[in-house]
Amino acid sequence: MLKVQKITKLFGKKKAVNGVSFEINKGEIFSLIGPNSSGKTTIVKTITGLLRPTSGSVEIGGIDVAKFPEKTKAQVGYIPDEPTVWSYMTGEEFLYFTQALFGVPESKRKANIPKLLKIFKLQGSEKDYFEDYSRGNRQKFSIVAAMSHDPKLLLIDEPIVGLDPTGAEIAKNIFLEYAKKGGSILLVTHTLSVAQEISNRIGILKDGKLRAVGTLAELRRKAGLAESASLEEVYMKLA
Amino acid sequence: MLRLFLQFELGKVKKYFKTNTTAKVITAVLFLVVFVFLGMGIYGFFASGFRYIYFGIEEEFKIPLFLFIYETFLLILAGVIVVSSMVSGVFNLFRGQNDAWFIGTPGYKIFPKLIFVKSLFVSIWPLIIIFLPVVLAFNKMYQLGFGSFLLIIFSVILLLVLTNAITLSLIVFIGYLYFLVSKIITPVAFHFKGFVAILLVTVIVNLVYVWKVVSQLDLVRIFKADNADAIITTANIGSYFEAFPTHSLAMEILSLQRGNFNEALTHAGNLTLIALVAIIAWWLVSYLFYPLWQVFQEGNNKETEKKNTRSGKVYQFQGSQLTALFKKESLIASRNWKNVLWFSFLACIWLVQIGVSVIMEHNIRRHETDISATLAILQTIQFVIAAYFICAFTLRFVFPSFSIEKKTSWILGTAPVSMTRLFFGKYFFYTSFFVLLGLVMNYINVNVLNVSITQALYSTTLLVVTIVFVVTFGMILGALFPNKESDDPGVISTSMSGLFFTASSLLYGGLGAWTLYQALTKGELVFIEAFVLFSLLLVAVMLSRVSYVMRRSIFD
Repeated sequence: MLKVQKITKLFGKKKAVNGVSFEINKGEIFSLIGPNSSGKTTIVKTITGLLRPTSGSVEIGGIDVAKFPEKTKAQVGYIPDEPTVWSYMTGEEFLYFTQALFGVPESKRKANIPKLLKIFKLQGSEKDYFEDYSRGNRQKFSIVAAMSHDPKLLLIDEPIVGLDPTGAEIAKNIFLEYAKKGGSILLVTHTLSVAQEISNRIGILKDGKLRAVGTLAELRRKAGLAESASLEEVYMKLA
Repeated sequence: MLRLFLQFELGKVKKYFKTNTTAKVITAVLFLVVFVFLGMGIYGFFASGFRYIYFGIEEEFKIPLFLFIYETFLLILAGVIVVSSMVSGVFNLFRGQNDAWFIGTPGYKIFPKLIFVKSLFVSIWPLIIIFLPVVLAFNKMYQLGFGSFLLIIFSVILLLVLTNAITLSLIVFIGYLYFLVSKIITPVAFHFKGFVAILLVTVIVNLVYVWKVVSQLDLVRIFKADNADAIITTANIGSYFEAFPTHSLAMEILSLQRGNFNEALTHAGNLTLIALVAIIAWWLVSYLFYPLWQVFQEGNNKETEKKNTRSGKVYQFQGSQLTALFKKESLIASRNWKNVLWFSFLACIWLVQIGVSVIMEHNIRRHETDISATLAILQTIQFVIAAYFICAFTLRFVFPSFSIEKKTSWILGTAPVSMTRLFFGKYFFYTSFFVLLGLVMNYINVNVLNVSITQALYSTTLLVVTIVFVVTFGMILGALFPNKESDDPGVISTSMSGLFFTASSLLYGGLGAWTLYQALTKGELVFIEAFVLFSLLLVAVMLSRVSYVMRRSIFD
């Protein structure tokens, strides 16, 4: 579903991402973990088309992001690390707007709203402005908005920051359910327990380079750790 | 605490100059040059105006006319300062970024005082750019001593102090009153938007009152021009203005002009007294600030308690992607109270010009004066003012429209929408809005002067073309040079590209005015045709480069 090939991103002279390659298959959850400034968010933004890679290429569903950005964007749902939305837009309006941008038929938009609100039990707060929402509620609206057009690939930058324990649990279940139905997920996170719990494969990033990729079992072996070792222990060894 | 605050503000300036230093220093120097030229222009204008009145006006009219000019000039200046302090004051007091940390410190009591200092500092610009050149021109004409010059400057500072103190006191007082009313009468909801709406209504009510008074002003009767035997005294003129605090300063200037320093000192004393009363009022009212600030923090929780109570239109963004983007712009623009207030502020200043036109129209009609000789000049002046305001509106709202989307760019940037469509969603909104605004203002102006259909057609065509050109230019430039450091429209507008836009669009507006004057006085249509053709050609060229421009914008 997603093919990242040798992407490099320079900000001035600084190399934020250095020749990173990986693939994500249909129905797979792939997590990228790594310390601050390791290039995780830059990679996600490059895949979404928010940033242009200095070199390398990204393909979504076999289509080149740089050549056909509108086609690839239509297949992607993006949940940013900082879900800032226009202060004076309500949650409900944001869901309508996102659907309009992604070309969801008008007849379906209205019917979708109650379903989307139900996911995080957001009913009752949908008519408030974004400036009145807590960080957690903003995050919840950004998650349901990303899923409102049935994307084939979800790009998630820090999925549960700001969510309460119930919200975090719901979010994890949504992602698992989504993958089960054939959706692909790229998860970027510092919350290693979540990555360990839901990922099929994990990539460890440091200084813009992908240091290790594999299932948790493969990473444990690479790190020379026991089979019971947690992702945190693996991370400390490899990152 | 004050020292800490000043250090913090100074630190912000230093931090600003740390990145892109050369460009920012050049911009600052260019701004200084522009201000100096503007000051020189104002100086020249007033120096020649004073000279004309001094040598060209009959003796018995001279002194009352001077007083009338001082009174109206100071009143307009004070009005502008009051409205500007109100707009910035509301947000500085209750919606400042990162203020919670300050209010959370033991030094929170000083906060309203700091806002007063900040407000005073910001309103000093009219003193430097407008008043200083005027006082210098006045000084040159009447050869006043250094003492008189200092006295005027001191009094102007007092005027700034008292207008700011009164405005901030009003803001807090009205806010507290609103809070009390909402506590007693429970159906009255207390929230920030309601507060801003009340302030807006207060300003509008006052404006309507001033409008009513001003539109009835009979200049001929004030100056008793219809009665050759009548004696005009300064008391006659003064009686129209004595209710305003600016009256003392106007009288002080007049006294200095007449060489009566002691009388000027008495008026300065009066002004000092009024300023002291205003400061005491602010000092007392500022005690209400902290509890008011606290309840404004509760506003959000109160809102969420009442589920689904927000009435009004829910935008469903029906239609094409482009329509959805257009509707989004209109939603964001109409609900952003800060923008609405700034827009109202600029519109108020424009209304002053229209108010002057209305007075003129009343007087012309009442006394059947023949103005055909000066009609072209008056119509051109109206065009210049309209073009100026279109440039000001574009600089404040259109030019920063891409840069302020920095934090929300992820929504549009990740959507399957072409960059061209993103541009045109904004473009159609701003162009249609400003064309509509320009047409309304032009309709009023044209009616006031009662010009022929042909003359009205000239000015309308030129104004519409000017608006389309200026908005296109502002939007292209804003997208091409997005400000990645700030999302404050005030800061974005003062960048080098903002300065370039200001200078170019004002020059372009000037060219449009010259073209109109040529058509009105000589019937030379070739200039209008060339101007329209040239402008539309440039607009077409700019719009054809949209996809390249957007590749450089914040979305990339």
